[in-house]
Amino acid sequence: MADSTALKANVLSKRPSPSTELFGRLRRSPMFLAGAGTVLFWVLCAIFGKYFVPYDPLADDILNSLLPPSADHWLGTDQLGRDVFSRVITGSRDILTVAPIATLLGVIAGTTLGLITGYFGGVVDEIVGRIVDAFLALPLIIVALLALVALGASNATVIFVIGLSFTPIIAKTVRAAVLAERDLDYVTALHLRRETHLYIMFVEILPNVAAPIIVEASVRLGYAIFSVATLSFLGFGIQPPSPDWGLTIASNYGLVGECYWTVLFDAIAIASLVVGVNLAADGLQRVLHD
Amino acid sequence: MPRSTVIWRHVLRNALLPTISVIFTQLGYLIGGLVVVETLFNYRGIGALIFSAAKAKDFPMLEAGVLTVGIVYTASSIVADWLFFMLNPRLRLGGRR
Repeated sequence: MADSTALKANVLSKRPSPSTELFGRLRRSPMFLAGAGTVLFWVLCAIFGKYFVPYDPLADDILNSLLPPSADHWLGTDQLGRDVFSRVITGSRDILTVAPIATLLGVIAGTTLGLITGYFGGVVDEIVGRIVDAFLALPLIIVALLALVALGASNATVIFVIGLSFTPIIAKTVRAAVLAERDLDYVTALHLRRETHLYIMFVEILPNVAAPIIVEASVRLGYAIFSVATLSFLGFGIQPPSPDWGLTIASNYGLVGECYWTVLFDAIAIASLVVGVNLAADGLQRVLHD
Repeated sequence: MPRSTVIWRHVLRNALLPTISVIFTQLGYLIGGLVVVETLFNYRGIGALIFSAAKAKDFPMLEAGVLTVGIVYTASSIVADWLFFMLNPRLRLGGRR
């Protein structure tokens, strides 16, 4: 008797927990590692960048404007003589606060909406489903532009608008996942136990649909970064004097023929961040799906 | 049956379905990108019109632009649905989904 208990405990402890196993598989995915490494680099730049850059990213120096890359200014200087290297490094700060918070807002609102519509179905599903379809009938950037003009552009409104426009897309994914769970035996058992709807939705079903939500969130983050950069480029996203990449490109793209360094490195930065997030999302998706 | 008939009439018909759905989901990004591209290259299209209206806070113009884009987008979704309907006899003949 005592032997079999000890054996059981032994067998149980040998099997790694699901999250340990997941991290183990993520560590072996070169795609995920490359993406996560790139993102981590920019996150570190966003947090600590301003302490180690050689120049103040906002300090202008008109006498040294539009210098090509040199030993003094590694990536040259822009129209106002600001150091491009310092600006590229610190430029990740705003986009990496706005985009993840917007994604988080969209994930929270979308998950709640998806759980409710998938779980209750029927009239609730119909009504919310139509509103969601109406939202999806317009391209994101166009809707965001309209909303930002109405609300006035600031970091908070960008977060709000992007989060809100992601909500229906995430709600659709979550709804589909919940529909598959809703009729399973454990949910029927919970109904028999007379658990409240709220408890069943958020405590029992939510953990079981976590995988598609995590994948959707990581994919959305890539889109959020791209949308924020686009909106900043158009002048409706992050506002000056932030050294944001999209803003910098918008104010310098006219110079790209003569002074490529004012635009090129910011463009590379945006591209690397978006590609990094998408690689990580892809890696995550593959690990979670098999 | 000749090889060309197999490919053009039967394989293509089924292979087109996912292609069409991808094309029409991309259309949204395409129209969103219109605003950026037209601004970037000073091309005077509806994207640049929406952008200049947004800059000037010209709401009637902005609303009209967004509405037009919305109509085009919705119309293209209807075209996509119709193509699906034509290509997939199971939908057209009202069989089981």
